Amino acid sequence: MISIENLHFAYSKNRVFNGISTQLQPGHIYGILGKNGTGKSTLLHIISGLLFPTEGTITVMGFTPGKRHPSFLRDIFMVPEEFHLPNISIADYIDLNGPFYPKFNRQQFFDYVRGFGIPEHSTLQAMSYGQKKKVLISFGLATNVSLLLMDEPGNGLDIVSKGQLRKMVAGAADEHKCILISSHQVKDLENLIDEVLIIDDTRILLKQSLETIAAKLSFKISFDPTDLVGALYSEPLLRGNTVVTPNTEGEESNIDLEILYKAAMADPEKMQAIMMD
Amino acid sequence: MNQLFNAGRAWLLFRKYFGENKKAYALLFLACGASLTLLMGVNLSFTNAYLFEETAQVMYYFTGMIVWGCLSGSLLFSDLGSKSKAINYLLLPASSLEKLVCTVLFGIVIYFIGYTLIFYAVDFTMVSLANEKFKTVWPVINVFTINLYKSKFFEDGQTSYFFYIHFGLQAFFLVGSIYFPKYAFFKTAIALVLIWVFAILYLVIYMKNVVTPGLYYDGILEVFDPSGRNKIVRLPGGLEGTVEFFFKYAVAVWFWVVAYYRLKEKEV
Repeated sequence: MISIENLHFAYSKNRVFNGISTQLQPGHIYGILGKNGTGKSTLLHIISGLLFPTEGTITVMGFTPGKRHPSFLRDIFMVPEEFHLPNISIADYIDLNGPFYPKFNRQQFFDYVRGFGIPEHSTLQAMSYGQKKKVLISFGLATNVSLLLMDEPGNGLDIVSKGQLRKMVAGAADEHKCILISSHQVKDLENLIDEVLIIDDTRILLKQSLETIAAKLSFKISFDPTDLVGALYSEPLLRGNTVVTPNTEGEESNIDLEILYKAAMADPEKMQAIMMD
Repeated sequence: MNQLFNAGRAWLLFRKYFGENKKAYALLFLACGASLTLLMGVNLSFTNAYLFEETAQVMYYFTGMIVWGCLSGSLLFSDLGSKSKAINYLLLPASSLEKLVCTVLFGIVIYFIGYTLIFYAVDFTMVSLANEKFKTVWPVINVFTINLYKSKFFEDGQTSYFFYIHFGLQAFFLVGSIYFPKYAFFKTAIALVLIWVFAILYLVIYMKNVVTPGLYYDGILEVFDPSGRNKIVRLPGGLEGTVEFFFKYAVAVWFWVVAYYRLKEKEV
């Protein structure tokens, strides 16, 4: 669905990507992780055609995003971190915007809106930032586009709403859709994504399915100091340590995305070596 | 599916644009009406009845149209100056051409029609009041026969040149609204002044040294010797016609084409 080959991008002299290549397939929910300013949003903007690569190629569903062909735009939707909604009612908003997306489902939209607890007859401008974001997320999910891009969707949402968001996104996913979610709040992506993509220092540090990660790494809380020897990453707790070690015994463990991210950032080369092993 | 222009998609875009901007246009027309009322109302308080003769009405008509046209033109693509609005606008499933046509339709064509209707409403009222006050019989002007009225700036029969100036200026401000994300009106106005200054300097300093000294008043490209009687250069009439055609009809279209390409290559 998304093919990126030797992509370079820079904001004047500030290099963001230096020859990244990757493939993203439908039927997956990808979580894009990275520090602030590493290029998570930039990558989403390039994929959606809002930014053009300085070098390299990108094709999305057979289109070159930068050309912004209507046939391409009608099958993608982006929930940006900074968004704008006009000063009209929810009903007017979907009447005016829904028809641009052939697979838009009105009923589905109102189900999501109700799920978020938003009054259906409200005017958008009278809503809080979080409520507006919920409307936009609901609209994005109801468009049923093949490629849904969400940039920090959890920002501005309360704890309960973040849970609902995870539930809705998981419910909207199917084998024909590709969902990309960028976040620096790793917890927002837990129990939602099935592939993780970590960006750091102009490159993709890690792109792997959670299934593979679980097979290659072991996450545990250890009270034995000898476990720290040879650990990829460890973090002291009130009692014991959280430890990430190569999964040599084939044991099953729950992936802690935050610890995975920290482990990848702490020793990128070792992490890549383990994943390629 | 046609990626350049599709009537169905364009209709959806017009519908959306109208739905989301009708209040802004209502306010714009209200402001046009208010400013015309203020201008003509102040003139009504004076004792000069000629402030309502046809020539004066023509000037009110074009002054309001050009001022508000430039102001509104500089806002037409102001959404591109805000990241959140620009994302919304650029990712809307319509082609750049459809987006430009929609903007031109509302910002230029509908503005022109709306402003003219507002002007008629205000002008009719004010001229009626003036006739009542001054015991005159000034008629309300007819914008469809604008060349019948004299103007202080152009020769007889050339008053419609104000239309060309208006559409050219508005198109220039439209392009400015894409090029300058912030303070588009002021920056475009400054750019316009700089272009004007450059053109004057070009004519006064450069052209003066290139062409034979003389008068240039009879036509665009005829050169006379200092006495003004003996024509010493006559460039082809077709060239003069081309220049005239460009400034009359092609300037606005040329700026729209610039806007189209700028829109296509806009990044956020």
